[in-house]
Amino acid sequence: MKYLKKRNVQIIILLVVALIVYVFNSQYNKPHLNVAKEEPGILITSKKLIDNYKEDENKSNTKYLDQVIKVTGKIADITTKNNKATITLGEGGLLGNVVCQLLPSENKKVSSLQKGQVISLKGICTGYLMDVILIKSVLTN
Amino acid sequence: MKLFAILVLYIVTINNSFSQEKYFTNKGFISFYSHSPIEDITANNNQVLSVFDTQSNELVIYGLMKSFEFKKALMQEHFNENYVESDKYPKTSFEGKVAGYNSSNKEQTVDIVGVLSLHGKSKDIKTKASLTEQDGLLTLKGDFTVAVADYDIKIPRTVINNIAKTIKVSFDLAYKPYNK
Repeated sequence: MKYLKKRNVQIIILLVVALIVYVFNSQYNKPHLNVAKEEPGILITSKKLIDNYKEDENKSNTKYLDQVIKVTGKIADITTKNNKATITLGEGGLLGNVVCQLLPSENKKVSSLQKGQVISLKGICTGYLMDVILIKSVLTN
Repeated sequence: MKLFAILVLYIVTINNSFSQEKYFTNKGFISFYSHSPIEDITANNNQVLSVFDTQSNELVIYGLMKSFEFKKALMQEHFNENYVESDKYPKTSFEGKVAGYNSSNKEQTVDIVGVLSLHGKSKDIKTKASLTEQDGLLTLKGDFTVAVADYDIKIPRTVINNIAKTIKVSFDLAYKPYNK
């Protein structure tokens, strides 16, 4: 009887340790937010997004920062560096565009796009420099 | 934080007759690297804004902390929420000068001196960089190290061995001439 109890305790300890390792490991290796599967909480045009940021950066940050936003606008520029494509939405002046870095999974679709086309994409807003910036963007319909 | 916007506009728009001597990028690359016996951590930011005025030798670089992308989501979370407090200090900046630039050289080494600000702290930085010119485009590349403690970044005891005391910062900025 005593032996059985000791055995049970050992099994419980083992299970608890395994659970801790599992939780720790899944936290440590938890995946990035999958933007492609995420429903954008905010839909906006590139012009409106820029105007909002120009008007009040702090207020806009509380609204848009870390959010998945769907932005619609005219392609001002497309560049690719280190296998990462960047699409600039807006009027294409030096400043005041939405600069969106795309996920590598979008590279093929990006290559069929052209300047001047109006497109929509969704990405995570990281803030405002002279442009509004999105990362991990994917093209949407 | 509006200050830097004014500064960039100032550098970009002043002396328009010399506009061919101002170089601009909003897709510059900055990464940092932390090496420790337990793990190596890298984060990349491909959306850095920079203006280099080859006439006045002024160099400004701005980046968003949240644009740094890590391999592991948890690291990115810790970085933004606990270490650099990106909600409170969303931007990093470098403002300084490039010394030893000679516009007739296609490839050269320059000295960069200036102030790097992040997490509400500012420190002087001095480093060398390579500056190359090809087809009218300028590329400024180099790296330097910063001490985590200099920027008042507190690393919790539990992960103190996972994160290096000094971080290597690399930059690769490909400029286009600015034409209004």
